Amino acid sequence: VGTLGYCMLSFDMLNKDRENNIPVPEESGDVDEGLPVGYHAELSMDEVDVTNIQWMLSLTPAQRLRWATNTARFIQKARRARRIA
Amino acid sequence: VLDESPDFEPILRTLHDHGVEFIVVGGLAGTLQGVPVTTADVDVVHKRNSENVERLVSALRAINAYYWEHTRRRLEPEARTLLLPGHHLLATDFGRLDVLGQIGEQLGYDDLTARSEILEIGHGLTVRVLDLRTLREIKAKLGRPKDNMVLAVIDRTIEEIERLKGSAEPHKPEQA
Repeated sequence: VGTLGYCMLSFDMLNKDRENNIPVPEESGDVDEGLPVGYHAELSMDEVDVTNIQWMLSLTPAQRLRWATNTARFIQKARRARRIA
Repeated sequence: VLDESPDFEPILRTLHDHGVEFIVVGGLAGTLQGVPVTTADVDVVHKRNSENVERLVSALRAINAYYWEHTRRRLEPEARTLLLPGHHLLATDFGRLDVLGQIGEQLGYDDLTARSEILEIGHGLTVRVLDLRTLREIKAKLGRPKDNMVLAVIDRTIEEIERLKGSAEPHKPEQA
């Protein structure tokens, strides 16, 4: 997936959105939309770390929506930084 | 357009408050159901009849939607074209919104309603989202590298949801 870049938005690298207690990305490598969190290659089911999924399932739909917005903002910032670079 | 900071909630709320019949599809449909996948926009499939399209046009005006790919002049979505099955890639005051007449193998709103679930987001906002099995099926058929990367994560999420529910119907992933 070299030309796609890869997503390093792992939950370990996330801060908390103070207002809503939702993780937001702080720093990462290349990030782009449509990629699973924390992975950089096609996966088999056995390779998927269920921790992120369990965490996401523990959120309410409103919190998931907020998380999606936070990551979209982060993607936008990353794209902008790449354009400037 | 890309300088607008994305905020997905007001986009969905505006569509909802204008009475638009739509289904959230794409990455956001996955995220709302617990799939940890990133997305940069909101994708919806709308019901393509004249009443709903009028409501949609009104909602899109409220968030100042326009086609972001048209750089020469600002082009706003119209009822005439929203009745067609094409894709409308829009910028809004709250970030990108793709309004899709059809997805996958020519599946429109009426084909997808039975394959969707209603999610209560809160504060009066409910949205219909494409179910995870259908989302997986469509991504598998698209076959792009980034879609293939997500398949196993969707499978694992479905498995985890079923484990939590104690479902009697185990998910059997198809080959991509």
